[in-house]
Amino acid sequence: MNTVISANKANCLFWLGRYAERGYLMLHLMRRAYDEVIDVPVGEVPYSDFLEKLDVYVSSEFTTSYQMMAQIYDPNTVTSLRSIIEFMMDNAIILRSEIYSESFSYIELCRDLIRKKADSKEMNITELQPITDWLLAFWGSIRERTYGQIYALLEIGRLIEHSDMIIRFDYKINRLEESWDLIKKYIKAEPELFDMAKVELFEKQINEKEKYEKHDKDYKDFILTILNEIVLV
Amino acid sequence: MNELLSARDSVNKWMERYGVRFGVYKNGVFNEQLFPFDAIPRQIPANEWEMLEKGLIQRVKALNLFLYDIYHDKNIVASGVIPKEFTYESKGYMPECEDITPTKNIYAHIAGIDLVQAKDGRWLILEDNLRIPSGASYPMIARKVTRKACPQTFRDNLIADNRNYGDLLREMMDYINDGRGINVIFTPGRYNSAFFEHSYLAEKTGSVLAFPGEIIVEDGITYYIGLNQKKTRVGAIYRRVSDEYLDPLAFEPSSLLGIPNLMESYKAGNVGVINALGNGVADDKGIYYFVPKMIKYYLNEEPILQNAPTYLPFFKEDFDYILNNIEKLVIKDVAEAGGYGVMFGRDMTKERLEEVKNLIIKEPRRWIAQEVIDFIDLDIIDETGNPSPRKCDLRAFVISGKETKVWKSGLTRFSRNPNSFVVNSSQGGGFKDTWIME
Amino acid sequence: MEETIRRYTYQYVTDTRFVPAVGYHFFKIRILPCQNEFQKIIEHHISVDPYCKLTQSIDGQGNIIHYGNYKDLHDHFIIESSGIVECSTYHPIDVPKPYYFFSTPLTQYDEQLKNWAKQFIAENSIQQTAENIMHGIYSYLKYNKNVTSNTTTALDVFKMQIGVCQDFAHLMIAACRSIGIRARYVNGLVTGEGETHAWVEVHDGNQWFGYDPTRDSCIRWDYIKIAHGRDVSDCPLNRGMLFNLTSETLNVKTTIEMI
Repeated sequence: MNTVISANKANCLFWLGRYAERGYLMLHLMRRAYDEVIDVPVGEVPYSDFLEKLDVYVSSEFTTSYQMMAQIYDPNTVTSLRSIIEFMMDNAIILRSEIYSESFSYIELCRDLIRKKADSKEMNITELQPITDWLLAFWGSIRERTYGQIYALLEIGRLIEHSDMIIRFDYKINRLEESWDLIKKYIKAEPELFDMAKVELFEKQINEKEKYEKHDKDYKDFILTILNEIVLV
Repeated sequence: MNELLSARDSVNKWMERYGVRFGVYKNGVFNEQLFPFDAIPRQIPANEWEMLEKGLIQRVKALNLFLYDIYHDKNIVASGVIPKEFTYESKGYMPECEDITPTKNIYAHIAGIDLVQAKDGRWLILEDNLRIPSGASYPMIARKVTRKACPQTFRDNLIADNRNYGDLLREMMDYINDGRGINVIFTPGRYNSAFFEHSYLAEKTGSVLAFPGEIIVEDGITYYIGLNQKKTRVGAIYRRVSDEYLDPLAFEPSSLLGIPNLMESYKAGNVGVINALGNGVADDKGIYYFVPKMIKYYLNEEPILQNAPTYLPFFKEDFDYILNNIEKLVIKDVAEAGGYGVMFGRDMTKERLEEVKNLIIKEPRRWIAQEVIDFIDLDIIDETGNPSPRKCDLRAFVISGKETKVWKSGLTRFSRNPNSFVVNSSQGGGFKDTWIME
Repeated sequence: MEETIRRYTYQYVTDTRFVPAVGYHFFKIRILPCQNEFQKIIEHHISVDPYCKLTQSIDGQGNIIHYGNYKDLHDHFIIESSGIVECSTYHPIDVPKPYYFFSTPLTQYDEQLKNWAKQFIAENSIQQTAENIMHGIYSYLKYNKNVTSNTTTALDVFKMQIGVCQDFAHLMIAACRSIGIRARYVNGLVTGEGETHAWVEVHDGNQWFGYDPTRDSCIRWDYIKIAHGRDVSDCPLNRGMLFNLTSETLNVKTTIEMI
């Protein structure tokens, strides 16, 4: 069992956790956007805060759910699902011996599928369902096979990304609190992975529930910045 | 066999899923390709294998003795068995390794010996690879997958299990490590063509996969640098970085791939380096000619396995023969590997033949010539789904730790085109599993 | 043979500046005069600034090396080696390794160079031949600091007819080896103030003799030997490795005086 990991591998584990979670949530949100666009009156340009947050580019050429799909495959947009899956792979490929070929294979499957679907310009989002399934299987495999610092780093990555998306997409504060409680378990177990001053600051900030509920943009940007600086890898 | 053929697609899917790839640079762009797997295995009967096993162990033992000799007493040169030009002038010879005795006195821990079977059934040695022979991971993972896809085949046939390669490696690494620290596999990075293998072997041996910059040497001790600069002592390094890049302060100063001052830790006997440094002197195509002589010299035995008939332009008699018969020979550049620098006389134009002759006249030491061996074809299933014959070689892996053992399998590579004799993976082509029958 | 002894004080300073400053820095240096049958160290002192641990070892050619690393940010790295050596006339007697017969990438020769070298052959005397080659090179090459580099080969030098002490030495080595004479490269210090120097040792079957083709002199006194090898790449005085991008300025100063 590999118990020693380098700074770079720790970084890859953390980011693999983040991207795997981001990919999973992104696809989930894309399905929502796909659904939302169905109801836009014919001839109108779909627009919502939600689409904007997803970096879904809105223009007069883009009026249907099918057309939205092109953006999932854009290799030049760092926030496209395809890019996120490629980033996942960039990290996972370094980590085969830490996460084992079985966990690694789910990332490989996601990457192969998104490339294939991009090449064939697949326009139906249901065809991407395996990615959701594999990412859930990936996390199941991680839970079965890894432990200690390796598991912790992946899980910390997942939870940070999870919290980040909750804040960004205006989920309720209780969702953030649940996620934060889980992070705190790791702060206790692996304190050297965290910037304690930032941890305290974040804790203080999210106690201001009213600001959160009001979706104050400056406030949210501020806590997002802190959240992204909490982990020291 | 039907089970194997009908499971072809499912086997290939599983290989894809595990990311069984190798990297290729084409026009400066890195690309990962699947290494095409052919479902029809090469089968080697038990009695034939027994002979191969003995012959391979004998050969690798002699090569290890030669490496010790050449970096210490040099008896084989003094006694005139090998001309000194073929040792001290070889690109693989490293004066820095003089008088260094590697841990447990083993040089070629992992030897990849390339063989072919001639049409008359004889096995002939084509090449020894004593530096960083690659390819074992492919049959290893292919077997893992095919066993699942074709259980009945493996129940009906008595085939030696080859999934123990990781254990063989680990056993050898532990022996070399001697409890001094952790085992690491040192890769030049993820854009190396064999990166899949590096990471898969790390997984299967339970070693840490280390990247450039993650290993340092201090006061003669080698350390892996963990999170928060925590140093963990390294006892054995299975390095997949070639000699000249391994220690930038001893060899190639512009290399950023290496471990600065590794040589000092190695020399002090504080870390095992697998394979040892300086092995290139024993596996270039020039020294190959002398391996049967080494076997006689060091072991006082007759070589069990023969070389392919080879001529050295360095010797007058051979030189004349080569110039007179060049159109039926294959000419190889001793310094090249991986299927590069190989020229078939029969494929060359008159002008080209003259050019090559001049090259040989100019630098006789740089070339060898071999008879073209008519080696057996094995069938593969081609793109159309039909059997089609291909030239195949076999890379056998010989592991030298406490004992010298031959892995009961090997990498059988086949050429991309039906009429090609070049079976190297960097030249296209694919691989087969190799079954040793019990 | 007169057996007198001479003593020299030496000071050898290597001063490297980095802009911008660098972090992890690994190095391997050859800075101590070698100890052998004609050269003894009476006292020595080595210091590095910023301070870091130096580990002593011996390289494949038998030269003493020091190595180490410094990981904190630094904009300079200064190594100072000083002391006193006691010398008798220059005559290394170590048994030559067989590879000194053979060329290396930096000391490759061709037919033309070999033919050029042949004119210097003196019947039955390797010593005389070597001396002739040295005179020949001294008059054939022009000393010039601004043309050649660390990767300049003997054949380049032969073509350009220009170079520094390292190039003079490489050409002499290639010329010797081309006619079957064992020769090796030597790094060291010479009396006076200046920089480090390079010269050649040739083996006549019994012992080594020193030749300085840059100064056209058969070496007896006033040369303090540090290291030898097949060519400079076997025994560079100072080699470092950095992970940062930086620009480096190197200043070398040597002072040797007879006492």
